[in-house]
Amino acid sequence: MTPSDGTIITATNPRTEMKFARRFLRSLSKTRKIRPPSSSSSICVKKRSERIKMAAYWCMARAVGSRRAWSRAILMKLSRGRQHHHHCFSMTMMKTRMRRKNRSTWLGKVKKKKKEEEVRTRSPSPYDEDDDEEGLMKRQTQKLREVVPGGKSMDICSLLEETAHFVTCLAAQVHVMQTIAHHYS
Amino acid sequence: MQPRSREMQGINSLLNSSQIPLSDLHQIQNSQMHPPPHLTNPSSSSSSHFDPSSSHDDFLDQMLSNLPSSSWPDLNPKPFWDDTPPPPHAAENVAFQYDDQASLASKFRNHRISSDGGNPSTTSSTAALMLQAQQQLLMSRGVAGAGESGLLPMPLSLGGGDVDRSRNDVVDGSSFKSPNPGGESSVQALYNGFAGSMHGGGQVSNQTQHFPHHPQGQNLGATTQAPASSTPAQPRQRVRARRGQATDPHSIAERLRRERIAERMKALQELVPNANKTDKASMLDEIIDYVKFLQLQVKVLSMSRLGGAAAVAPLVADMASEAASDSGQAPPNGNQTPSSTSANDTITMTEQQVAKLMEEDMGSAMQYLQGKGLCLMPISLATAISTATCHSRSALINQKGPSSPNMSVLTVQSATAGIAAAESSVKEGASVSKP
Repeated sequence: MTPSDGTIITATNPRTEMKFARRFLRSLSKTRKIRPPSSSSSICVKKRSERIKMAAYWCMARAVGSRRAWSRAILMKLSRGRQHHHHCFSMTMMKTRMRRKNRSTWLGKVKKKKKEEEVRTRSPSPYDEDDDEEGLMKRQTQKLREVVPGGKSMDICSLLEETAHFVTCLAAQVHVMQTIAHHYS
Repeated sequence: MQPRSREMQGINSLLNSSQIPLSDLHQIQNSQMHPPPHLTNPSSSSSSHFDPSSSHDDFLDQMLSNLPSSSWPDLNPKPFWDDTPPPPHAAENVAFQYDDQASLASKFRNHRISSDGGNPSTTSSTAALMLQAQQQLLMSRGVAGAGESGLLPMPLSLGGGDVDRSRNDVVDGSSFKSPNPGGESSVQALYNGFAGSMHGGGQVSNQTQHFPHHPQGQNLGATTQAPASSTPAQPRQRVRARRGQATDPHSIAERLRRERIAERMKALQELVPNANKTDKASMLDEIIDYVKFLQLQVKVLSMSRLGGAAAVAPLVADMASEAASDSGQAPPNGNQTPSSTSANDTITMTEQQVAKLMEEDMGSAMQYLQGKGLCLMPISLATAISTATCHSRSALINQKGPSSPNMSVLTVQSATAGIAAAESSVKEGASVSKP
């Protein structure tokens, strides 16, 4: 099944796509070189896919640059984690310890955030029937803030703007990745 | 829209609603010709309103105390003003509604009460005067001097001509495209005509600042349900601000903020597919779902590059449980939330359910499938797809995307069952298959 048949019809900006594609391909080849792709253990596969996903977001953020708040947020978040990824590749004792600590905190934070998100999305369900429009809007903006990177500290106006740009870049990212996957298979 | 009653209403409570005087104007333009004898008198006085060099307070002073304006030679405002105060006020409201309405309202009410206005003989004259006032405004702005008959097309062409000049007034831009569906958009066109003429005239900067906001504020005022009433029975000093026409800077800033948010929401609406929702809350829901869906697609795509069907199966189970917890709500037709064991269980359960439904009624079966984001396809097509993409037994995921069935991600293929259900997003047709 070709991805081109099922692509989402959204606006794509070719310039960003080209930049992202170049960076992403470069990082993919790097990943393939470091780790052999023939590992079959599920944990390893999961780790690899996670890493590829992070690489994708990082390449997208780099392609966009520091112009956008969400790209800055991604870069900052990933630069913190990336250092520790590199440290884990180098495999020194101190660095592995640091990596373990920081990865636990970072991933722990991610997992905690996810749990919080679940809780937050589930707990309002008893309150759904209340006609508090303001509360509904607040919940939705809260959800949006969680989804969009860097959305915690923005007012709703810029949050919406960032979301629009983020959506275009995500769509471009998906488009590029689909094309790459298609060529690989 | 009832013209006559609205006219009376508008003239009597001009300050109550922003669009009514303009709709009156529109009606007047549509219905009446401009009687010449009224030309000279109102022109002089009404032109005093649009003296560009003065602030709004000065406007009111000019208007009400009938100071002669420098830019108009044939100015004898005083006697005219005493006779018919309402229409110049109306014209004033037409042009400069959004600023310093408090003093204007009070003075207007003073005049109206003093002159005991509203006698029917003046209605036609006031209508004509409002028309004249508008004409004068347009002519004073150096717009290509149309004759009286050309008055109506002119604001619309002005509005059309000023599309590139107005900044990013999306709403106003849309109003240009449909110049005459009703009073409201033509009202917007008129406002944009004024705005454009103000731009073209090179007027005072604060006025030009106000004008681009006026159409948006006009939209805001027009879209609000009921204008706040400032009853004539109120004492003269107390002026309650109308909705969309507040005077203090806080509400103006608030209004600007709301307009900006509405702009951004509109831009987002164009980006996100399935954007036919008019409600802001549901639009936000849609946006959130779409972002989550895209992120999910990225995740899936990053997994698909690793290859190996066997390795995918535990990932499948993980993602299924993730998706179940993420979506957080079960569709109402009794969908079984996928157990943590494996995705195949859910597939078989789904198939059994579908088979049961198909015995009763094909439609309900299709609806059930659609609720889960699946569809039926003939076996030959399914096998063709599977041989095209997959090597061996395809253990693909049955995955529940975000709540709307349009946003499901992956293809499901069961080699065992007699029915092949292929999952595809209905609208976008996004499908990712695992190699």
